[in-house]
Amino acid sequence: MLNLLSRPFRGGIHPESYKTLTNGSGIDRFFWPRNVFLSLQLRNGATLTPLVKAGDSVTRGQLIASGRNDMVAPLHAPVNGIVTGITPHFSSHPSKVKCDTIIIRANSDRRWGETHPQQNYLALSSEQIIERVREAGIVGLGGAGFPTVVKLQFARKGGAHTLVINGGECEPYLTCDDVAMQEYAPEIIAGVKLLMIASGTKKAIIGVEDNKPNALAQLTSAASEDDAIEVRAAPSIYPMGSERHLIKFLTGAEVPTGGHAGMVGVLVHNIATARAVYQATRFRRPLVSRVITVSGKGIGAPRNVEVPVGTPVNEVIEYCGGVKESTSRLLFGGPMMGQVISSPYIPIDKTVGGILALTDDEVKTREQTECIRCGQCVRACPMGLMPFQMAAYARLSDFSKTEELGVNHCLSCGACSYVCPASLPLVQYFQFAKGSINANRLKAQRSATARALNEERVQRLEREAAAKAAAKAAKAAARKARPARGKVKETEND
Amino acid sequence: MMIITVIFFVLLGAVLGAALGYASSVFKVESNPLVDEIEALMPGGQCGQCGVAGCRQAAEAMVRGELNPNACPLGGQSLTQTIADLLGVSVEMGEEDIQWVAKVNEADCSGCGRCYKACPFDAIVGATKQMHTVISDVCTGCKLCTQVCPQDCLTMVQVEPDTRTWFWPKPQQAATANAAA
Repeated sequence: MLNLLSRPFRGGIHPESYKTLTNGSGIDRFFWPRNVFLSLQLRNGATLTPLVKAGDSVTRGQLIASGRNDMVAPLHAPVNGIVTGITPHFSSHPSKVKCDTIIIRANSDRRWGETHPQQNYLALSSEQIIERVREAGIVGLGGAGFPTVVKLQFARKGGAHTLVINGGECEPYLTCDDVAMQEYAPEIIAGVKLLMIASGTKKAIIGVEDNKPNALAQLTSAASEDDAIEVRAAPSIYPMGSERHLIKFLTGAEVPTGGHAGMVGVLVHNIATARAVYQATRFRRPLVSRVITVSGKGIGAPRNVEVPVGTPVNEVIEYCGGVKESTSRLLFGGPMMGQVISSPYIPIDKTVGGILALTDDEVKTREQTECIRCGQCVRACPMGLMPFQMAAYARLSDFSKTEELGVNHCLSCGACSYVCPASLPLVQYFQFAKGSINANRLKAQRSATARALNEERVQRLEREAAAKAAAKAAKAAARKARPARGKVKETEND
Repeated sequence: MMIITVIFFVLLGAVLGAALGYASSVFKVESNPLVDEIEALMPGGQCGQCGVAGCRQAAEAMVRGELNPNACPLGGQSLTQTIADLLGVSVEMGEEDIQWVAKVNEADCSGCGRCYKACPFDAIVGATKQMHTVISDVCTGCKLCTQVCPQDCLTMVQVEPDTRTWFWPKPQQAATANAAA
């Protein structure tokens, strides 16, 4: 019972953190890529229109592709160089689908293409800040990649009152947010102030897991002069970095199942996003690079590196000392929710937070056995679901039952798979089930479109037939009325 | 004389039409609402790929239990599941749910326009003596166009998953799990 009382939320696990591999060495800012690959299709399938062509020379920060609406953040050149082509290339999507990609050969010049005169950025109005965030193409850097401008506008319209800044970073190995908080604390606090002005929130709470004491100290001192900003330590429980769980811990509000943070008047942004907003507003610098953690026992020299967006994985790994022979798996993101890197030429996009090279003894493949109904997955699930039951239905491809049990509320956090003594690939089953349900929905939409088109076509054909018959009758009547002018009939017939 | 003929036929048509309309409401045959419901779910292309003349007939056969709910290749697994739920039967779901679409080999297209007329979904665009093309987002893969093309330039291709439709495959089951099941 005591154990239950001390927990900030139901479920959760305590995986080994491995954060000491990279959290003491700061950010390496010296990396520069040879080529960058900027995919013109986002993970959600939305496409961007390129504004450059092969052979154009581009400057760092130049707008090179734009989307149709705010849901598609624009792309800027992360380096100075020459566009060598727009051709299909791997994107960071796990499907290995190739999509059109702008390829830029970088030169060694790291200056920004244009600089803007500085002004008092804290005096800017909410609309001006939102406009600069939109122009900078900022997306949520925590991993989901939702456009920040859309979130800000929603929060403004929905009358959000609290801004929660997510410094949870609960995934093992990842320390990019930790070191960013240590090194850029004043910038993050400035970004938080700007986000508060832009969204109209009155209060900001920064939640940082208590396994990052240095980051907590830096942020606390940077935020000490502003009463509206509170820095709080959160217990280190995976998945503390989940938006829903962090809100529950920091504000006590429970986001309704299937709902979003806006419903409880909360707006959540990642600390790296706050810094990007600061850069975009004060210096008008678009989001063209991010800090990522390159770690795992398979990496020669693990560290946090600032990399331009679009850098292929192999260039980053090469810079960090290459991979050791014992490496058995390369991952994007953390070991709990990350995805396997299927090709070393995949570029890093705005949402990638880390590259991990895990060795055999870190991967620890265990043999899969039968479910023994121990219920450990139910205890571990932070969403209060029954993973073993959902997995059983997913295995039978019975998606309606899986959906009834709430698979769509699953965070894919992997806590259930982590604790499973039978090593069942539980979270993989849920990924499969969620994907199938989504695909079926798309298919149903497709056949609904087909049905609507078919009905319209039937009606159109009827209309056309009626019009034809009417025209024929009119013609016949006209011919009848002028029987003497039979000679001109041929021209009429045309 | 001619005007009288026109008037006569118009009147005749009106009278017969009215009689038919009256008859259809008086002598209305009550149909199985389940058939109507299933027919409304179907794509309505009357393509005949299920082996039955049209969608209505297919719905009737399904209700009678003569046709498997998974007979409609256009609807795919989501339609199969919905029909099976309506009928209260269980169906074996294949793992593969392939979406086919027609593709015009544009070099061979003569612009005859027959495929355009054959398509029940208006998924083909093009004008006479101009190249035609298939709107692959709308095409249901009913194959009606491939049968009418005199140039044989319409082929069915499988839709490759894109970032919207791709999803993780089902995890491999362990050998022990298979043996137990």
